[in-house]
Amino acid sequence: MISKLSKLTLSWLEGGDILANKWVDHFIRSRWYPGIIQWPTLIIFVVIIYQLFFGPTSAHDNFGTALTWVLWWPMIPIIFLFLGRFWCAICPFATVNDLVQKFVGHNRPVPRFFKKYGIWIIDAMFILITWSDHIWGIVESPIGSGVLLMLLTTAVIASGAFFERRMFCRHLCFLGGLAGNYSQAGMLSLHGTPEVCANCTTASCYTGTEKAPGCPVFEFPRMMTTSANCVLCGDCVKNCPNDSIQVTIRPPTKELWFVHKPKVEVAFLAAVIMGIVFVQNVTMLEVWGSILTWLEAVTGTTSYYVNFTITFMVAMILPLALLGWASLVASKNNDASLAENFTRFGYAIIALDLAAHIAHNLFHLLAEGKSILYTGMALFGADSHGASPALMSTPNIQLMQYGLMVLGFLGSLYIVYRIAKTNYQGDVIWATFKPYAILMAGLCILNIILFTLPMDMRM
Amino acid sequence: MAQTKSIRWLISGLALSLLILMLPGTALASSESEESTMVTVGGYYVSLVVSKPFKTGGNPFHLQILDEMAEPVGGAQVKISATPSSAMPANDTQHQMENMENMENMENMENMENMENGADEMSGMRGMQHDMPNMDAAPTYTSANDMSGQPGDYAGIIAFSAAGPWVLKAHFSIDGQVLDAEFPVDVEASSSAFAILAWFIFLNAVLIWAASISRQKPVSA
Repeated sequence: MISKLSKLTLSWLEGGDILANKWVDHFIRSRWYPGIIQWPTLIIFVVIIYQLFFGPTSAHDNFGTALTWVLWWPMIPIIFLFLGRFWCAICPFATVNDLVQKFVGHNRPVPRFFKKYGIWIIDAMFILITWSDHIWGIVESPIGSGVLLMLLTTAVIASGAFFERRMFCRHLCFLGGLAGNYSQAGMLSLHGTPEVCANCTTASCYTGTEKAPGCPVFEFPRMMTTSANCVLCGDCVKNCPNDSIQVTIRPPTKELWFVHKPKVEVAFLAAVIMGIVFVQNVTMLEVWGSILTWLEAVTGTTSYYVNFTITFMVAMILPLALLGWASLVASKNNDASLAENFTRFGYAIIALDLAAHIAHNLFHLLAEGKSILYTGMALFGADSHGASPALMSTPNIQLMQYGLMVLGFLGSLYIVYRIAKTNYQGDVIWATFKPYAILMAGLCILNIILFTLPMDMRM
Repeated sequence: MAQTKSIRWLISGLALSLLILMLPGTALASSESEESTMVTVGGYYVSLVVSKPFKTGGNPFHLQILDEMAEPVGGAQVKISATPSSAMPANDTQHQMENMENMENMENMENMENMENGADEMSGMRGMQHDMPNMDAAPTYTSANDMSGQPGDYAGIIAFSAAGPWVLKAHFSIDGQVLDAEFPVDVEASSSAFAILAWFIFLNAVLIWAASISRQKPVSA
């Protein structure tokens, strides 16, 4: 048995099918998957909602806030890196969607508008939610966080009640957009076996069978060229009569080396995410107060709405403008248009996004991690006697942040190289590579500088 | 088929029941009543007057101080502390007042200065709360200002970070005499939180109900 497992482990690392392991295969095919993880997640979600609305009004003391913003939010990009969009398979919103749909669902087709502009709506929602968080202090206010989660729940219930499958998750969820980008850099990939799928006439993976419904996010594994939407729910594995579905491990960012049909909205989101990470970092810096004072003097108003919005816009526009600049320089060397370069090479920022996002949240997870335990203990009347919530010292966390940024930089650099190599030849490869290398280096250095500065805690 | 129909009726019934239940609940949440509690300390009658039951978050209150002759006592220096009753013994006045004294020496003193102008709450004193023993319900402090035109009447806003039993302690000095008056209070969860959640539940129930009744019946063969 040991030798068999060892062999399989090696095969996984070589890109072999994880489902070749009979235990994994049985688990994914069983009716317990993903329910056995989904239902506890839903229960925890209910506890979080209760705590956010009826627990301590101070975020520092609130168990719901700790679970949401100190545990879940920092873990999310890490999950996307290692397990792709697996979180979406067990997300409580998806469970609520499925439940409502099962009993009262109209199963209407997805409106064409959402299909066409869904990712732009996601981009806009992501920007709006981040802006709202800073203006209204959603994260700092348990009720604010509760309202955000209930707004999403309402949208999910409306979607599940009237539209087919997981329309909200696929076309509207702001986190889905983030997940879509990050999972392309992720290490887990689900896909059909081309030679088996070529002879398939049932398309059970898409339409569903008595064993499981069709793909909840409207994917057809036979045609799938990206992991951006697959949530690894296992329904296609259960439904496929030919055992065509494979789940394989791949090197991080590999999918981004060969993007066949790049989309401008994905590249745009990649740049925007970098801007959002900047905003999150800058507003948590201890010098943020001084920056605001300076802005107040410049704008002549003390309105936080005005001054933050200016900061927010600068942070959003900066990476977009830098990507635009690099694309413009590259277009002079590779004969592609600015828009083509922007779209194609914008994907390379995703690796840096992921690294910066994880690095930023690593601070919350490791410097405030014990607050989850303390606020949880407080529910049972135990107190922490003012103990530090840190799991690790700040210098060690910073060291990890720098390391992550270097990895992200190397990842982005390699993606640029591969994209350039796929599309161009000879000297054009390097001529195209250079401006993007400068862009990635600039973004990486900017992040590292921000991580060197003292940061305020969330809890 | 019959089972599906029953489930749909059940869902509709549950959604409707939720709507009905939410209405009185929301109305109850907005009800108000004025309450007064009086204690005698050092020959003074100290009354705590609140217009509605204490909730989590900021709460306005009045403190009335009368002397032995039932005459209003003006010009007193009044400071208020609120401590979860589970966090410390009820008679641990010394420790509590030490905290208040420390507070005066802290950098957050500018917050206190702001309060002098309008009895602002001290819920923003996060730095201090970090050092407090009970994570679930950190003590808060405020001052009560003499209301102009109404001698003996002091007003302020006190913040409670969690629901449950609390001890509200008035620390006041009159003509050099320092006195303490304690008021055990029950703090309820904020009605605004209840109202917001009720509104969302109502909205979602309406959505589910609407979907349930408007769902097309399958065409039988």
